[in-house]
Amino acid sequence: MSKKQIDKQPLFPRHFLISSVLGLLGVVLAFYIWDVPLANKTVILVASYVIGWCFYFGAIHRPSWYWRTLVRWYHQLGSPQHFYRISGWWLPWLTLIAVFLLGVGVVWGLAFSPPHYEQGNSYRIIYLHVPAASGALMGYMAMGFCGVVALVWRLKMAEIMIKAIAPFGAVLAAISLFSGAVWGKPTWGTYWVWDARLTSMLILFFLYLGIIALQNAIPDPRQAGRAASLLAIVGVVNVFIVRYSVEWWHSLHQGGSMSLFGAAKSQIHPSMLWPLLLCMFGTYFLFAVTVFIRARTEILWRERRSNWVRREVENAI
Amino acid sequence: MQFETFADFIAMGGHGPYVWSAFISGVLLLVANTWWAKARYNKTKRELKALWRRQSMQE
Amino acid sequence: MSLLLACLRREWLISIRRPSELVNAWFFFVVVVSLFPLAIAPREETLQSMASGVLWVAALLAVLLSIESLFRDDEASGVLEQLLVAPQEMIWVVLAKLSVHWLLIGFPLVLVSPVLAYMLQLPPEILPAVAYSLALGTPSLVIIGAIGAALTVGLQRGGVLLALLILPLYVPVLIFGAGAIQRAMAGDDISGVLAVLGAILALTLSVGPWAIVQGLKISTGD
Repeated sequence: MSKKQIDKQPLFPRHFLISSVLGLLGVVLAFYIWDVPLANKTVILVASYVIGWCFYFGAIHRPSWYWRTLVRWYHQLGSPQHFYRISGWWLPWLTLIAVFLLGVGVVWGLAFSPPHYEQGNSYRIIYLHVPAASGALMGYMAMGFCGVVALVWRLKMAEIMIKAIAPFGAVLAAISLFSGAVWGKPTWGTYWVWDARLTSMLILFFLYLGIIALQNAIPDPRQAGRAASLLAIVGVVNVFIVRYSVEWWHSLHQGGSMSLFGAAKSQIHPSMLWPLLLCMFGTYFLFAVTVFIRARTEILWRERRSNWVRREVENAI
Repeated sequence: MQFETFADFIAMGGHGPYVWSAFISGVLLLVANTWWAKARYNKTKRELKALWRRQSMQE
Repeated sequence: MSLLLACLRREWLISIRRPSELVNAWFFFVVVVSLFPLAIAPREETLQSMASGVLWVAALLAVLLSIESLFRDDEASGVLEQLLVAPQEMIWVVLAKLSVHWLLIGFPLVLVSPVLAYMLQLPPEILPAVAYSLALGTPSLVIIGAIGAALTVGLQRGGVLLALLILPLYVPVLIFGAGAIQRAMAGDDISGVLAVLGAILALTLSVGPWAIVQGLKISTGD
């Protein structure tokens, strides 16, 4: 190694710096967005550090492999045929994981986790309510993302995904509204308050219904998909504004609206947190299962004139 | 296990109606939605087969 | 610039030569607002407590009903497709349509709203707040509604669908618009709420026309 090359060597290896940055980002996310106890934050910190390190290490040692993988993913996810094949392999496993996680989480939450010190046993609705609410929100964010992809790159799969996400998102929003109302009765003494969370979830439910209705009203599938994409993007902006507008407004004349968790969430005990996490991930997996099934249905119908669909359907009895 | 008897489990310390109505309706909705999506998928397959059979009979 | 002026002139002429649609929207607003005191006991405190909501929901519905015809005739006569394939920027045409529509539908609502507010027993010192909040809010309503109108333009039975798409998007404007009147009645300073309404208007004005053009392209099949 010549002297010049040695001079160019940085004091710290670059992957060390970049993986540290990624790890720190993970910590920031864990601390501010995800309100979990310190022990879990440590786990998240270590995990994101290791993942970031692996990614960067791989990227400097095998850059072509990374690039090719990215391009392959783009093409495979963008092509209905590849998506149909890959989702066919994944579906049984995803279903198994979803049923397992939800089953264990629900039984654990209903029978084995300790009662809440203030709310008694009524708090067990959390194991249904929070997963449904977060699933509905994440589904809408995913639809907005797909909307951008569909309008900018005109990817057919992104339009199909929007159509596949909307029904289950609406169901999750409905579940979280209903279970929230039922939970509110023993806790707050009323089924409904015009709180920021409740109002924005109601609006989210309406937005889901609007997207489904728009897609059903336009006969041409490509046109329906692109119209829904635009509405999904507008809706994502709207969800944020609704959320903060209700919050600001209520803080103006109510003086701190009632919080669902208050002190309880920041101190949520691991014996309550683990079943909750299981239920949340189970719901996400179930989301993936139904989205895959609906997307496969839509792909079969849209591509019904192509040969591969015919082979696929006639061979699989 | 947090509950002594099965009756305790159903009663949920007086909150039984709330907890069980939320859980039963929620789980039913989840199952029905997944089942319905799957039924649509199978129906689409059947319809496609019928469509191709009609087309081949016309030819 | 001359393009914008020409479009403004065209929209203005088309609109004022068919005054019945304009008058319908104005009367809708007036009639809806005056139905509420008949349906609910016309006591002063009851009317005062619901006046902000009644005025705003009525204005919102009036805009929603009138916005459906924004692109309908142009689409039916084929002008819309001509405009979309023309070399000129479609965004100026859309801006002209929006401003004329607001001037002929939204602005009269603003003008008549103090009178209706007075009928709803609001004290006279509140009336400027009513007019200010509607003046800042109705342009946003027109722009957001036009996005929905662009998406549903060639559809049969688009009216109910349009309401389903657009009403959830109207929520922030409604909250702050009615909120401004309520704050004024509580005797607070409303400049903050009006500033938020202005911010919403700035956001819709900067992003809305682009979304409307995209929506028109989508619903005419590019």
